[in-house]
Amino acid sequence: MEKAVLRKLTSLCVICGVAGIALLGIMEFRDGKREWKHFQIEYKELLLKKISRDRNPAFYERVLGMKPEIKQIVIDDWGAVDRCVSCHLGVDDPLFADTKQPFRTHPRPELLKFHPVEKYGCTICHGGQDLSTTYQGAAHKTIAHWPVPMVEKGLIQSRCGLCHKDFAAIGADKLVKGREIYKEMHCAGCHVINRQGGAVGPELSAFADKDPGAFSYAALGDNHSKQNWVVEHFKNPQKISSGSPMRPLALNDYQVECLSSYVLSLSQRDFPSRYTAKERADFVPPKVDTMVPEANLTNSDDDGK
Amino acid sequence: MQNSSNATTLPMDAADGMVNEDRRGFVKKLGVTALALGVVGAVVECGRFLKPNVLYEPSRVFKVGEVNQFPFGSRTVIEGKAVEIVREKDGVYAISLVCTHLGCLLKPVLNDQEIGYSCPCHGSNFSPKGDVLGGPAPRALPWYDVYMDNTGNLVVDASKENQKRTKLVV
Repeated sequence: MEKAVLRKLTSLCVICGVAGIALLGIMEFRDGKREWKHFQIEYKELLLKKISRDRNPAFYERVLGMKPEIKQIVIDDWGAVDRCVSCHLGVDDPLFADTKQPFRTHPRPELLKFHPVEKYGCTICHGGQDLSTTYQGAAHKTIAHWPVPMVEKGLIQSRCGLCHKDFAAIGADKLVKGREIYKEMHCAGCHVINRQGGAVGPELSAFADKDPGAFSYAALGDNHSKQNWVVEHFKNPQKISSGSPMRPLALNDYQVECLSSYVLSLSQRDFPSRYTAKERADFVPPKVDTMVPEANLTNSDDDGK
Repeated sequence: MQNSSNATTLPMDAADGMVNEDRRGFVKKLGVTALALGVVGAVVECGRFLKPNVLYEPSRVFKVGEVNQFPFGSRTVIEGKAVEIVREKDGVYAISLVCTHLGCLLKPVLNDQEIGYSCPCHGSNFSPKGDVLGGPAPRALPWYDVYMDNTGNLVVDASKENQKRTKLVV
């Protein structure tokens, strides 16, 4: 009896031990295979080829001693911890201008000059999931349960507009055009922006700050994101939000992009002054609401008399 | 016949017994080794789990700007990082501005031959090289590693103390 129990216990020990070792093995294997580790090892090799020990020995030694680690930029005021730089390692390094992604230098270095990566991070302009360390999870494309994916190229100016209200001064042509369209189409007849406009439709003053969870994505298919909602909504308002009295706008794709960029830039979030741009002293946001008197309108009161 | 069979079976039994003993011993050893390895591995991994890969805090390695922003003889406080970059004729170094007493932010004292930094909280004084001159501070101010990256920017690594107090020649 005792022997049988002992034998059973021994086999249990063997099974547990082997299972434990197997699990540890799997864990080590999977942990070693993380995307960012692989990229950092590759980046180190690339960087070592591009620099020389003679010119800057201290830096060379440092690169030699580089070990894979999660890199991040913490921006408390924006509430972001951007880990994009764990893979996009050469983003502000001119040596990587011709390298493949994710190491390539930012295509607009002049923008980085005014918005240093270590101060502004990435998601403040590009969107996406800041904490993620995988391609999929960072929301380079729309993903489930993260309705703020990276901003598409066509709409990227909407992010400039979050802080820069003087669109012309920063050369944001799409935002300028979007505001013109908003004015031309008399959107202000129904929507309020900054206390200008009518109260038929929802107020748009802080549209960019609106919770993406508040939108209905039922008619959008798989591509659930606020930006996509806005674009599709401008193409066919009644399809995207059923029961809406808003009529289709008859805009081409470029105009839809401009108008979407403009609407997605309407934010009322406050930033500390060290992040925001200086505005011209005489800058006044242009009016979006215009009163157009009807030409043939006769005074009905006079007729009645 | 029976005897002979007994005589023949007995050694067989003994041999069987020996085989079993060996096998049992092997299984036992295997079991104990596997269990021990598994437990040690699990303990190591639990320890690793307790140590986070990364914290929600700004990186301790940060750029402070291009070298030419720091003229010879200048002392520049890096805002928000509690570090002062000192450039002298023979090199650049980065010195911590956190008082070693209770962690107050030190005030750099300019135009004084002896005192380089003084603490507004409890009056500790430090020499321009960071040594304690007076007050409750127990230790000298640490110097941090400084290096220049390939874009010509000075980078301070506040996670590594420069104990030899070497200056970066640029």
